[in-house]
Amino acid sequence: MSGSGSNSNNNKKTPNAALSAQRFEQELANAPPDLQDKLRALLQSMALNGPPGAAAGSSGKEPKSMDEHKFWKTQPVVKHDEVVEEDGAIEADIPLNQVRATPYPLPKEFEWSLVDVEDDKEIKELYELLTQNYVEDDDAMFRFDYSADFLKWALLPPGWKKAWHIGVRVASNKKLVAFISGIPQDVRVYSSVKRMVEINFLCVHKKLRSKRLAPVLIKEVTRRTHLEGIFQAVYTAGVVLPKPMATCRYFHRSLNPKKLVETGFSHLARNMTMARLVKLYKLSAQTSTPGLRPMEEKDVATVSKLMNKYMSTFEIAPHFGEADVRHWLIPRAGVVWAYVVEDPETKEITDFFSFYSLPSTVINNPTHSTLNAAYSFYYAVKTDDEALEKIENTEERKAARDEAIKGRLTALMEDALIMARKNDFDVYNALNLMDNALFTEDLKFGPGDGYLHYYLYNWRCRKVDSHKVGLVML
Amino acid sequence: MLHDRFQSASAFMASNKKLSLPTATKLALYADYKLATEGLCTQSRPSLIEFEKSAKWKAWKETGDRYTQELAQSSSSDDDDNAQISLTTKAMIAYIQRVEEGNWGWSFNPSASGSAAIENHLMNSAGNFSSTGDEDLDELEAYLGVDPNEVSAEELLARPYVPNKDQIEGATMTAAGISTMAPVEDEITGDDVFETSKSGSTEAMRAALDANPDLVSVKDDMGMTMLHWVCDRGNVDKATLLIAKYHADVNVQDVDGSTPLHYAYLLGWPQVIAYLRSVPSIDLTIKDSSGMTAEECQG
Repeated sequence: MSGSGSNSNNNKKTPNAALSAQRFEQELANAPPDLQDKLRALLQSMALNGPPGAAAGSSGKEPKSMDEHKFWKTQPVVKHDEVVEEDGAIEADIPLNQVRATPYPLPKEFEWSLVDVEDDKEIKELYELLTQNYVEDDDAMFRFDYSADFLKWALLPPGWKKAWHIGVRVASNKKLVAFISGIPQDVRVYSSVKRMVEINFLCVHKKLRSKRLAPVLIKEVTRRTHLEGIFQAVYTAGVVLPKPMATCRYFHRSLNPKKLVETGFSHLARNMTMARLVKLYKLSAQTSTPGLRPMEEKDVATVSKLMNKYMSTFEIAPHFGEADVRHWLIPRAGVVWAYVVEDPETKEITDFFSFYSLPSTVINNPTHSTLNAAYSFYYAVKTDDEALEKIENTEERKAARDEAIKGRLTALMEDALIMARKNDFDVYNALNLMDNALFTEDLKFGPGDGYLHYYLYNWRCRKVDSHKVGLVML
Repeated sequence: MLHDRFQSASAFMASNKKLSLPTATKLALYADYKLATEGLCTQSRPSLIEFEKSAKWKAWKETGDRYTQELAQSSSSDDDDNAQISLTTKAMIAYIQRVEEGNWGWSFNPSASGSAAIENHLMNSAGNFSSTGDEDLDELEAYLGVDPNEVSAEELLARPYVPNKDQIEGATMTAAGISTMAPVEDEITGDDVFETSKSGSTEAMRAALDANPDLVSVKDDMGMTMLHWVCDRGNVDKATLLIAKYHADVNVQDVDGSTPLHYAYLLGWPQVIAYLRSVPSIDLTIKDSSGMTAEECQG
């Protein structure tokens, strides 16, 4: 090994402090012994009290991984202690010619690589990265098992951009080891409608859960978003980051209680019989709403209108064009189910509901390998608006609206549960967003141990109550 | 490979002495270099008046202490995925990063240096890198370093939500960040003589029955016997033991008129159903209070 690389520099050109110290030391050596002692004592007190300019360690420039990494402090997000009174962008839009033109640098062993989601081989690589590398602790029981079809649905909505399906590969063997994605979406927050990007599927290979790649991925997707002239993003996470604009809780409705107990998803109280549990969650074999049928292409226009009208009651909601409705809500086998209510007499589409499939692998279970979970997606119910508008008192009008929606929605959601059970789902999950709280208790949903926080990037806004959230992210 | 990079970076710095660097940077490089090559500082403290020596000593000593502490923290963190790296490795990584981030013109050419043997030795001595058969990843993992205090990639943004117990009341860390049914507090009901039929081992139930053989015919407030509970839970070993050894009544009915076989059919426990049906005294015609035979309860 060669000699010291760094300290030898000091001989050529040393900073003034060190130089003068050297000189001082020489001078000191010539001073009388008693003076030497006094001076040493003086120097010692200086060294203890003053900031020693030369002291390295904590005051030196530290590699990022060893700093206490305050990544989010550098980002345009609302601070934890910030009280938001007025909505608006945190930083101004960046002119295109000021957006960094080249990708952020990666360590040499890595390279950026856009993932071609339409390519069967590449989607399989992505599927394997995602299904094998999400967080698992020691007593992990479940792991998300995204299907390739699900990923195509999630990543290829209208306006999707390949530049936002960002992968990182090992340079030598081209193994896909990290991913982040964005999809475009018009989102309304209170009264502002913005073209935003929904960030999702951030994943880093378990072996590389180094904490340094994720910030680079986030910065890179941000850069690529800026290049498209979009400066706001929405994302969800389970952890509290700076700063949630809404927090929702998961609720679960058992469809197959025996399997849920056997897999450890739910807990059988000591004095509860499985028999009682099964009877408690038994659903009727047939749906009850007249005119319920799977959604079809011909329903797109009406469903779009229903959806946007219903969404207008929430403080954060997507704005769906017909192309969005067509993509997100026309049923896809094994991915998304959507049903409309067609009035048997007028043939008018009055309501719709939808749910999607996100199964989990059951880890180390002798009997079951997969837990089939349905997640509540978008819906809209008809209300008698003319009657509601006649109620002048705001409180009374809201109560009347909730009452009207509660009955209709509970019946529809019971049908959703029945359809989910028929399709072999074991559990139906819903966050307490939109009007879900109106039906969860009656339909025997139980609270989950999971929460989901909503975040906006570069947009500050007042906190939104969970029942005022209208945006569902996959 | 890390070793090669370090050698290359330190050789570069040695041959570029004319670089004009801030003192703090030089001291930090010095500290990392000493830690990487000689380990922790064991020299005695130089006279304070020797500013340069003193500063170097302090940098070496304090950086070593800090790294040691950071490594200890990462080993006590409960994330088993955090590979434990050695002080030497940590210092090499820090040194390389400083040289890279300084942009002083160093770049690493892997073909120009290095032996696999040194690399392997380094990787082995670096601690418990689990073998993935993917050495690129091991190398990268060491290179990127580990910060136990930092939120991981998955936690930063990923779809699976991992609630933090401290931050939200009632939230617990769930496996893989998947929400499951929140646990319900079990009511404390005092001693439950049926406990061993509801959970636990067959042996524990045998011991309870040996201690009190009358238990086998006791009914709880729902009219259920131990055999009912065993058939509810689907444990064929316990059912066999209760009937064959302790002569449990196979046709006993609870307050709803359900026999153990009603339970077995309702819940679809094939082995329990088969066993109960093989018991000679089984009566398949018994109806529960809703008028259903056991077979009719089949879900």
